[in-house]
Amino acid sequence: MNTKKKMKDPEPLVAPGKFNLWLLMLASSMLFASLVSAFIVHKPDAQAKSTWTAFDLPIFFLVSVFVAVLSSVTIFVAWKAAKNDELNTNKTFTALTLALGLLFCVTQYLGWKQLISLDLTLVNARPEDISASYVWMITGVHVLHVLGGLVLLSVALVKSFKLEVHKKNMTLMSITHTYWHFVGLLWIFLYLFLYFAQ
Amino acid sequence: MSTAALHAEHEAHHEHKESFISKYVFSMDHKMISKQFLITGIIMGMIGMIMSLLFRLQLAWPDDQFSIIEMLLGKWGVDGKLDPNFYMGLVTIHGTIMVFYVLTAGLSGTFSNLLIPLQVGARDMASPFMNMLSYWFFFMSSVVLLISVGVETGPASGGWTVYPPLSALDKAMPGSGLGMTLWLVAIVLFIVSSLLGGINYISTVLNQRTKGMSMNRMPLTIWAFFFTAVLGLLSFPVLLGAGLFLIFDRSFGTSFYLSDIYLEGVGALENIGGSPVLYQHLFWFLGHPEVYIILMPALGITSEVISNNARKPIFGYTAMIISLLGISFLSFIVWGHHMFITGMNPFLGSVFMILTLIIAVPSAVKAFNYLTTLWRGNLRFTPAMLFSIGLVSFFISGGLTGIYLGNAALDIQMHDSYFVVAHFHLVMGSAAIFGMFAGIYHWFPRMYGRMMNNTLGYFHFWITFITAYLVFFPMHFMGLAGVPRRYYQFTLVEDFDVWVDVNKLITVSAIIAGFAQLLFLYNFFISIFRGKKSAQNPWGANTLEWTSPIDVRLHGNWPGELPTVYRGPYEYSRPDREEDFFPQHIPDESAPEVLETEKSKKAPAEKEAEAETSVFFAAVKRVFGLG
Repeated sequence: MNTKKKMKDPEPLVAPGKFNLWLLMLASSMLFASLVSAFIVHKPDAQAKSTWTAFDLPIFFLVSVFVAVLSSVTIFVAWKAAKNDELNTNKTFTALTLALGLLFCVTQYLGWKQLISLDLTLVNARPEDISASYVWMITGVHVLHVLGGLVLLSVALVKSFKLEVHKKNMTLMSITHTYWHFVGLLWIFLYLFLYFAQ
Repeated sequence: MSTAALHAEHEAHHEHKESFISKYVFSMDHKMISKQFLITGIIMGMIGMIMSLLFRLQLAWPDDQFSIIEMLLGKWGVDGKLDPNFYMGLVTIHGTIMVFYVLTAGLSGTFSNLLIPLQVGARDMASPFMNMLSYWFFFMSSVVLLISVGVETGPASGGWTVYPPLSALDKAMPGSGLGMTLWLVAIVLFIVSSLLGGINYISTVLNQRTKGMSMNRMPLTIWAFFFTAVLGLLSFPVLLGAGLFLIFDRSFGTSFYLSDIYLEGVGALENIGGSPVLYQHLFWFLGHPEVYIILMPALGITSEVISNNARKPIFGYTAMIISLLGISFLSFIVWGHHMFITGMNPFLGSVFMILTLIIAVPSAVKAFNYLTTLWRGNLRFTPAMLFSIGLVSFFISGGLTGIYLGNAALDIQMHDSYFVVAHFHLVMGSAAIFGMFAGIYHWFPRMYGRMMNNTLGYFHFWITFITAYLVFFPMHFMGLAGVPRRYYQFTLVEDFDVWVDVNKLITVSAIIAGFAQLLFLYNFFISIFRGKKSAQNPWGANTLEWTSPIDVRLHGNWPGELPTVYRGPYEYSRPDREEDFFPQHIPDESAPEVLETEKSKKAPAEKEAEAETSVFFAAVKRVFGLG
């Protein structure tokens, strides 16, 4: 029973869904903070380098940074278009973002394959290769977040084809928009972290 | 279970069109969800308590046989003697149930759900659907944990902190097999539940308060639930991270936590190079905030109950909020005090020690404020009030020993001894459960429209209060003498044999305490159906939850408009008023307040025009009362 509409209560300043999303992103950030701190705690200091394999990150991870940046631009255009009721542009760019999101997953997959070809897997026989296990864990948990974003994007795309995304119905679009920027930024941060912390 | 019991109560109200399922099972009404949390929490609490009685029997009479043990535990209690492995399992699951399932979900889940929307004046939570999911994840988690107790190899047995390598190697002990896997599954489900709930609590408090309910007019209950939810939101994901690594170590062969283990000179593991101390860092980064997640809602409830029953404004409203904030902040930077003897750098130990001891300051502010609120009040000793005063007592007596334990040097002697058990059972266990009881007695009329029996409540309080001290106080002396926790049988160790009489006293007291809880159960469930009908505002309270009709169940809380708030929640015994309370929603004719400022009058069209990006800043401004 939805008494809310009937009673015409004052609307909260921020849409509840959006507010919850911010909090969810905060929680997610703490999850990554824990993974990244574990990496820092585990990494030995300079004298004990032999117990830690340093390796170059796969080039495909760098490619996916560019994909992430590009998809952030496209989702921004899609969101802006929806705000201005330019529904066709919105459709095109939401679809484009979804495609880029899939491409991101592909580049991550190729990156993992590169790691495997270097004999750096999640489970390693040599203890010093634990550094690779961290890279796998961190990228893996991040890709799970991207998959969540892809689900959001797909829903947004279907809705925009049903003409349900427009100036007066922006909640889903702005949630998708914010979240997609979040996973993109997260990846840039994680890439830089893994690049410099090795 | 909970739903069946509740059904009868609301049978009379046929006017609702909801089906049984949507009303009592997959309900999205925060009031129903709070009852679901409460009753599940009570059931889990009973299970946790029975477990503690079983291992207390073992500690007091290690050489005797108890047919009840064989009857309840079967192959784990052959000839009425508790199996050592199952003893470890009982200790572990008792801790897990009490910490997470009773005092986190049962306490926060119940009262945050019940009171946040009602006291801030919202129709429901920000997302009722997420709220429902939160309960059902909790329920699934409870079921998985209880199943783990029944598996063939026994439940997780490495203590509630599940340190690796005991928890990471399934051959380490029987409970490290399937039992441990199920424990991890249960905890992951629990974390999801806790995050879903916490997000809602924060979002509702910040974003959906009614007109006039500025942050500095919120009841201290809401402040406490708010900080609790923030702690949960920031710390539970870290436990999730710790759990992920542990799951990968257990099931996929990584070695984040597994370092070199040698058995008879041969490396026992294929995967080495990990760090078990890393787990402790991650775990206690949750673990320490977790104890405040447990305690702070109880403190909030106590503030409300004590002020209401002393008929006095709470002493130092702002100081109470600042001390909650201080405790919340400090809780994130003291986790190292659980790890003084892990080989931590002594300098780092000193830093953690100083930070830990600083917690005494905000805690003392709270204790003094409770006492000064009581001072020269018109005290009404309702059961809720007694339990609140009991909380203050435990908070002081248990908190003082925290100063000993927080000391890195003293901790060398007292670490992992019964002193620790005594400390946290008083300051966190007993105090928080007393806060929970206070909340139940106080808000029972709001939940069920009926009163609980006072006489039974008094018996419940006095027996529980006395036996709780009898159980936990002697443990201090055992701990100081070096008796370690988690040992199966002390009579086998000559030095500790002298404590057998004390152990008997503790066990007998614990059994009496257990019987007192039966009084509570009887009182609780009978009062749901037969209790005296409650008045609309039985305690003469100021807060908004008593303005929403308590005799009809209404999804949306108020039949008409949302109430408007004109003042703070603790205006008791104002000299200019005939009644000794002044509810928040009643306008003050003599001094009309300026409710509408130029900004709040802004036309709707103008609001829409606000750029999306500024919404965040607007929210921040609003949160801090600048908007």
